[in-house]
Amino acid sequence: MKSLMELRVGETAKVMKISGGFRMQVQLKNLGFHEGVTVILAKKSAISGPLMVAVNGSNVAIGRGIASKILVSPAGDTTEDAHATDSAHGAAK
Amino acid sequence: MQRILLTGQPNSGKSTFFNSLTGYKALTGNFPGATVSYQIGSLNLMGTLYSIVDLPGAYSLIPSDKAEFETKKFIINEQDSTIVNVVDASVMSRSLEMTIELIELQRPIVVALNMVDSARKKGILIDAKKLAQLLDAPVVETIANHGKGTLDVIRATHGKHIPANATTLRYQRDVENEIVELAEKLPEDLVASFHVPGRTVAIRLLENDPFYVKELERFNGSLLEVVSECQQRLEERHGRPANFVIAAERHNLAMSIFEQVTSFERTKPTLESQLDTIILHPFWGYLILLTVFYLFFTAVFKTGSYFEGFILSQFEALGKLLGGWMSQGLGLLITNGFVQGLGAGLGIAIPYIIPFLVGLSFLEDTGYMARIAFLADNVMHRIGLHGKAVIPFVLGYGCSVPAVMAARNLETRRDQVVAASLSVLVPCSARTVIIFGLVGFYLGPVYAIGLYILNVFVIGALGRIAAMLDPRITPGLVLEIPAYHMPSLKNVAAKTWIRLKDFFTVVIPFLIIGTIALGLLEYYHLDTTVNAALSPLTVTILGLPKAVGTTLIFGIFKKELSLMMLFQALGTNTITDVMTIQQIVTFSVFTVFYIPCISTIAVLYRETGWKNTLGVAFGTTGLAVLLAVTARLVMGIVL
Repeated sequence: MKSLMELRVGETAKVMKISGGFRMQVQLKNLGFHEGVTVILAKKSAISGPLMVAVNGSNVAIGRGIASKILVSPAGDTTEDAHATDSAHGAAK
Repeated sequence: MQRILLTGQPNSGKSTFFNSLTGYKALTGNFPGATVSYQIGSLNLMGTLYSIVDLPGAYSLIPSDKAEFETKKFIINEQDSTIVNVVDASVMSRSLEMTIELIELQRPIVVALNMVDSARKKGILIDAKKLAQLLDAPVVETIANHGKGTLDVIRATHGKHIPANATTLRYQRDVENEIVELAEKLPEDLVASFHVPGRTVAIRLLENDPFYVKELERFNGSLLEVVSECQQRLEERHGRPANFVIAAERHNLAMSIFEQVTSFERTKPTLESQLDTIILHPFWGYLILLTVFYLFFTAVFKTGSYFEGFILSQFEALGKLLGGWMSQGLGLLITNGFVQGLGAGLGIAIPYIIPFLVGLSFLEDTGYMARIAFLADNVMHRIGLHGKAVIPFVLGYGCSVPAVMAARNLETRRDQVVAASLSVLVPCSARTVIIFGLVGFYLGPVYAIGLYILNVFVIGALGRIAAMLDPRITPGLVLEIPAYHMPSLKNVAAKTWIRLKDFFTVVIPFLIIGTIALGLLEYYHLDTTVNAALSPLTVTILGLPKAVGTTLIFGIFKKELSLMMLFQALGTNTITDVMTIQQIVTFSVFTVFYIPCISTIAVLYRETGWKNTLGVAFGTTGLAVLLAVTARLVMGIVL
């Protein structure tokens, strides 16, 4: 598992766990970031700028601070892929 | 009359939908006791009159800020209305969660499946019939920016059907049991007071929805314990807090509906993603941004100056005519003040503001504004804010009033206050008139651009200071980057008109009063008293002619008055005859930075409270003195 930040542009991954405050989690969920959802890192901007992530057909800009709190498992990394939500619980403990 | 409430997520095309139905006749309403506003318009369709309310966009019915709280209260209280839920078909999976929340309210509802054309372009095909079956609510496909289907939505509200099937109204068994159990324990008259079913109240309480929790507390505080017992049971069984359990339930429900009604088609990479490769490019993106801004402001000033001359000459002629008709005295003075004030408003403010507002709606509706936020994010982080905060600053170049209001969309109180307070320093179109009319005209464009650059640096420095004083880290950017859209002219026009109305109702009266008041000051020779009172500042500290005192006072009413009054107060049309270059620069620097105009102060007070507003008023004036004195000294050395 790695953070959204560590993905390469164009790479597909599954969201495993979102940490951070409830407020931010709601904000991310409202825009489609749920555990188990597939996302694509669409764009990385210069130096310290935000990432653009494609999720459920829409594009969302995410600052790097928040992106580092979203843990993902890149497609093809099958060990952690199976029960996304369950393993997220495991990680939470 | 039938009442219709338009609800939907941001970027769902809800306002376009509203504008296509009601056009320009919309009025702005305020929720009682709150600053949150909504649009209300009427529609006459085949003899039936509809009153349509466009509520602020919200991602969910769980309020996370004051605006959402008021919106929610409004929906709950409007029990006799039909809800129209505008859904962006291309991001339906996420919108459905809110649709389910609305269905849970058990009111008549119609779903407008909007932007079906752009969904199709993305390869997303939705079976509207099946969706209607699953939701047990009418689903109408619409393309609101072409006005397609919007009237069918209104016709569909006739059925007043309340969704009743189990698909959307039953969760997984153990969660549902917990909900039902809690619902049974809730006192009947409390539930009745909400006009929504007990099940919905129970769900909301389990989610800690502040709206219901507050009411429950007021009704009977001990019931909160019953709620938290249920929450604990859910948490033990599911290994996460109850509000997450409920959110997950609703999400799963939405996904299951989504999967049953959607089919996908392979599409070629859209033009859009290719466009973003260039527009969000780390180098070309910024070059495009600068070009867009340059073209935008050039276009605004070209159009503005073209009309300004024409309108002003009409009012001048009218003034001369009046002078011929009426005898000298107070009556003429007031009439003349009225005509001149109106002329100043229509002749100077409007010609620049209309093109600015049109351009602004264009930037918003095409989707470019969100991309500006994306590009600006890392620069804004340097001043302790994030990308979304760039919007108040961009708006600030037009007018500080919408700029301050736009700061409301930021997440934290700190960010809202900092962005609102700093955005008033951005030279608005009125101050731009001063910069161009005085500095640009008499000293050349290099000085004018220099003043803009100085302004950017000053704001940047203040932002850094604010970040150092209050090191709470800004939560960072989370912003939907909407698809590119061809803006519809109707929508752009309606948006411009709604914003322009504020100018007619707030700004022009102030301009008229200001002009008349200055006339009166002169008539009773009070201007010399004001000038004398201000002379320690104007003459001693800033080294300006004594006569500029009154102009600075009038600049508080409306910034461009400073320039117009300057001509009047000095009794000349050629400033360089009476002021040196050093004085012109000092005066301009001072007027650009000093106390915001009275309309801005009013809205700043409303948005950030009186303490902050006083701080801004005195702070900016202090800053203006400091910078103007520096400018005076520097110009003294240079010249």
